Amino acid sequence: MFKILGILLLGAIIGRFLRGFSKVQTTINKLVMLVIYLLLFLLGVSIGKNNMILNNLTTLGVQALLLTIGGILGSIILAKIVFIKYFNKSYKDEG
Amino acid sequence: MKGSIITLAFFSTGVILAYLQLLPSFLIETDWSELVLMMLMLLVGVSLGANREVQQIFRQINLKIVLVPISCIVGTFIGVTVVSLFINDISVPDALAVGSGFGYYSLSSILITQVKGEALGVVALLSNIIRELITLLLAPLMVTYFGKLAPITAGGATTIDTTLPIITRYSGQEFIIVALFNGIFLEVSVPVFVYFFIEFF
Repeated sequence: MFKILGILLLGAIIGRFLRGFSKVQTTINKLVMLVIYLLLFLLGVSIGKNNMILNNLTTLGVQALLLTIGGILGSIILAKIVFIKYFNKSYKDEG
Repeated sequence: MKGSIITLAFFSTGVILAYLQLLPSFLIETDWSELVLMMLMLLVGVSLGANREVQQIFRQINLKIVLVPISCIVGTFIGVTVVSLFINDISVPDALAVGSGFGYYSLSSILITQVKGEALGVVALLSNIIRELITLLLAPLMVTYFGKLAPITAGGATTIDTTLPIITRYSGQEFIIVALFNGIFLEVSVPVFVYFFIEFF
């Protein structure tokens, strides 16, 4: 965990010094997308060579869907409470 | 949406090529994912550091804004815990690790695969892609029934990029800062919570 967070922090410091260059942001964002594609390709490779996973893809998909529905429902219910209690009034007054 | 489809295409290509054994052995035998993951984290860091808006966003923070990502975290944890009680194969900490992706599928699925194996990694990948898709598709309904913060907490870490346009459209311009802050906060939280749940339980 500390390795990952350390690298993130190192990147942020490097980024702070690159701020003066105009095209840094677009270049970095393109690189990020490329690396994400590469990562997902590699994840695909690790799954494609694993027959146990391939045979259970439907089950895993259903589990993923159920977990997501739970996570989103929990999030939006709390969002409603926070919105009504803390945001509704002030944003109406301002707007 | 387009981004998710392209990533899914890369993922599927990897699956198919590996399944048909069409890949050179250096790709199959060595695990390159950790190295590539380090590159990703470095680039994400550079991107955050180089972004002038990040500072402005952090100047506008108040306690109210912090409640938004916290709602996402707490709500997600409660939701996935309840669901995991009905799924035999998935323990509560596993479900919490999957939930801790908060939509950031590339990072969470790789971290989970490394420690917990491919099965839970696939669940994490699919779950977090589905999270992004549901947010994109149902944002208007969420605003109607759960208020303007709902698509922001539903989008999780994706509200800094892919789901930001749709949130701006349905929650309104005044929520852009909330959405960006939420995305940055959760993006940094993902490795912390994922590691916490896979390493300590």
